[in-house]
Amino acid sequence: MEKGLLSIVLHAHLPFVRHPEHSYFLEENWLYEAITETYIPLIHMFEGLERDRVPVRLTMSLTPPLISMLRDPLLQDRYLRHIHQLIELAGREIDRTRFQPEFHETALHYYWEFTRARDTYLNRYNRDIVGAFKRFQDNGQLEIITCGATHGFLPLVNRTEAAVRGQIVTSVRQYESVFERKPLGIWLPECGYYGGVDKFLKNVGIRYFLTDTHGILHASPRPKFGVFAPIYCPTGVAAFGRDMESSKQVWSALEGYPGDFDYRDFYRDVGFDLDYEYIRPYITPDGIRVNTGIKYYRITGRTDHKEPYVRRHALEKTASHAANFMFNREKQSEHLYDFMGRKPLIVSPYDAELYGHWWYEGPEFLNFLVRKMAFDQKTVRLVTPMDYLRMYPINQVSTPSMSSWGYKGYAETWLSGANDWIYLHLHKATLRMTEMATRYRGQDGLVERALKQAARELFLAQSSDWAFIMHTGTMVPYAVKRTKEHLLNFTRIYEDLKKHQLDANWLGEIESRNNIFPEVDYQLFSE
Amino acid sequence: MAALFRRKKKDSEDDKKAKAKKLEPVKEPVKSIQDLKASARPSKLVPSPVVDEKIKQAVVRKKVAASENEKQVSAKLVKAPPPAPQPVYRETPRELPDSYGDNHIYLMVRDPHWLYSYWEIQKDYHEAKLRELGGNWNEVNAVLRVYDVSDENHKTFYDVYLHGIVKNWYLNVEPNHSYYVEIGLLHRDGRFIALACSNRITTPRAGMSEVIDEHWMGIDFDKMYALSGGFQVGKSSAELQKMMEERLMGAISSGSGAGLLSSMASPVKIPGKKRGFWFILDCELIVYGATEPDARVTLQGREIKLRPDGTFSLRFALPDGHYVLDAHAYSADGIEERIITPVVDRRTERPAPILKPTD
Repeated sequence: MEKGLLSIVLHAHLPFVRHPEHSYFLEENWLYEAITETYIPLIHMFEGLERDRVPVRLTMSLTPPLISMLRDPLLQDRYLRHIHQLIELAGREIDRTRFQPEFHETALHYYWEFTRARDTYLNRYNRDIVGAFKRFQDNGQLEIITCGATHGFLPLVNRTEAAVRGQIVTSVRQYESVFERKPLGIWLPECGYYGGVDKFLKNVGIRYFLTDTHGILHASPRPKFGVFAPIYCPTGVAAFGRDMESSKQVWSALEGYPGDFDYRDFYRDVGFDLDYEYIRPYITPDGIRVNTGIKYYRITGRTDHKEPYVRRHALEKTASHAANFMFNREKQSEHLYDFMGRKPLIVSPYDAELYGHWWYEGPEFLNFLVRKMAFDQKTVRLVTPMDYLRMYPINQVSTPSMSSWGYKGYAETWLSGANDWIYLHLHKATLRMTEMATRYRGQDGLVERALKQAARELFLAQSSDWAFIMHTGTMVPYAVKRTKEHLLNFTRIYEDLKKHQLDANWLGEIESRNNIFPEVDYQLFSE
Repeated sequence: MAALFRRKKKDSEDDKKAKAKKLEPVKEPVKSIQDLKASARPSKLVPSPVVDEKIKQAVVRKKVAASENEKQVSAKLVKAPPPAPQPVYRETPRELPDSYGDNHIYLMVRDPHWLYSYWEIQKDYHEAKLRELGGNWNEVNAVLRVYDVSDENHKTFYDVYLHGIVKNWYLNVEPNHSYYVEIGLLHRDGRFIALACSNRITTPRAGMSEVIDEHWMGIDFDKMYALSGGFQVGKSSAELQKMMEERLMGAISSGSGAGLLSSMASPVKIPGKKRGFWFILDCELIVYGATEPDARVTLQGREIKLRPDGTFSLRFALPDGHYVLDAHAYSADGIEERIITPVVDRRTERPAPILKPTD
């Protein structure tokens, strides 16, 4: 009998980026890179586990913006264009590295990976990545949980109850129509919890959510089992807290696995390294160098000098890291079990894109970990949070603390000098949305279309991603543009509606561009 | 071994542009607690004009790229139909409004120690309230009156003087307390009139709760807390030091953000040390030729794909070495074979750097 339980949760999310008005748009590449480097490798992992009959229980959140993009025909076409380009480049790389044995093998590896990705995407799943994950849920390997409609950071977006209700009910409805069942759990965006949000979760039948460590540790009354068991909010919705130790092993820039010197270096990409004329067809059409995904070097050390990547060595390291992670969880479980008198639950959430995109060997790590846990030990078992609640339905009642898993643990990332200006406008729009939804009940025709699009624009403005980008300073102009664009679109609809001067042409234009949630229910915002 | 590849530090114009667009995770600069608190200053309402300029440039660049594509497409059309008559087209404004004409104040929680408040007060309303209070502008100050209502029986308040034209403020407060705020005018003589009153909020705790539930006792809480990693948020200074370091480098606590919008310092990126003058150089070889389009060509035994017109080119990285590049072309009818064999040698000398004496 096992002594401990481990719940690995992968949070897969990208903001809604879709620009039909341009034939190429740089920020759309986030999606294409994630598909190639994270989602498809995870699909391969699940397929392998199924084929080899390896018992597995993992949890994944697929956020509504991501789901919308993965199912959008335009973006699917563009992904195929992207992967075809990569395959072509990989082919040329095989030729180019003919006299460089230290790189040639890696070039062959990329060609294999990219052609395999295209085959999986197009031939085997018919472009339906979401359908693939649904299949893994239906066959019992995976538990998929939902998120906020556009990943709005609820503690800051909650100017009205309607705003929070809109985010949650909209995602649940999309989840039900896509996965043909009700979601049992939710990934609160950025694990952003505030006292009272669980009421909305309860109303839609959600049984649990996740918080950062201190969300549980600072709960009141004090949780008896620390972070190693969930607590029930007074509403009955369970809260699971992140385990710091297992997080640190993977996340830590100083000590974590991904920094190992044998692993692939993210920055030495051929998009930047190779001769301009050669690489020109594979970077942006404007000729700006960007990451392509083909990289030949390993981290090597805390130095600028990089040695060639040797896949064999990297995989050896991956296996040993998986063994190490498992060993640590075994020791952790044994220690806690003796102390607690109940099987401890270790909750290890990560951004899905860490596995594959940032940490290239990540999916292999997960693959090795699942297999080793199944066959090389009996101390710790993989479960999902819902499995735990079925095993231990009685838990302590306590109110979690307001918290997030962002830098410093609260709201600073989304409320700081760089982005606090957003909220006056966002909140005003929130109030106006309720005003419109309450005044215009049961509409049809052009007015209904306008109200639905207003809801969409508000949702898109609420994405926590824009504030996040502004705070971290990576692609600020784009984030500012998106925030303003959606708020201005919303405001224009509001004012046009008031003056009875809706512009059908303009409305049609933004409907076709910002086309998330076709069946959005604006009446969620009425109060 | 010497690499072909360009170093990051000396960026060409292309690289600089690329950097601006690259999905580069940014490391959080190390800050002391004082700096962190000081940086939470009241901010301007609207983003700076510099940002706007960059947006315009980014948007313009994209538009130029798009319109160039369109030009290519339209050049192929023989005849374009005349455009349909357009309805009156109204431009969506480019900038968010400065104000919505409201008189209100709103309070938000940022963390256990900080609140953020924004407000809008219209000029005429302001003036009416001043008249109501009695007095003139140089006898009053605009203040935020912060009410601590944690204890229902003992409400306290303090005033924060607002200087200049501000529309928001960060307030330093206590954890696990409840507050609301009024923005108002405080007369020299102590009289106060409120212009607007905010919502009420409660800050989260900064540590463990004092409340212990009788039903769930019987375990060593402190040990449980420590095992959960809780004490890393508190006590031991040496450990705290290390933890803070790791936190500040965006290491452990920041779970969020390894999605492609990562702020996390990637495991890889270590700040480069100062380097002096550098120079790298490498060689590639291009082999090109032509034959009948239906011929078959091999180079060193490997088949080469011909273009439809029978030409071909191949490009290789060429490290030091001796290369015999035998190329065979076979006619489509299988009767004739021709061979051309360039032989290439590369040898690289790297003498020591020459330093001119400085006087």
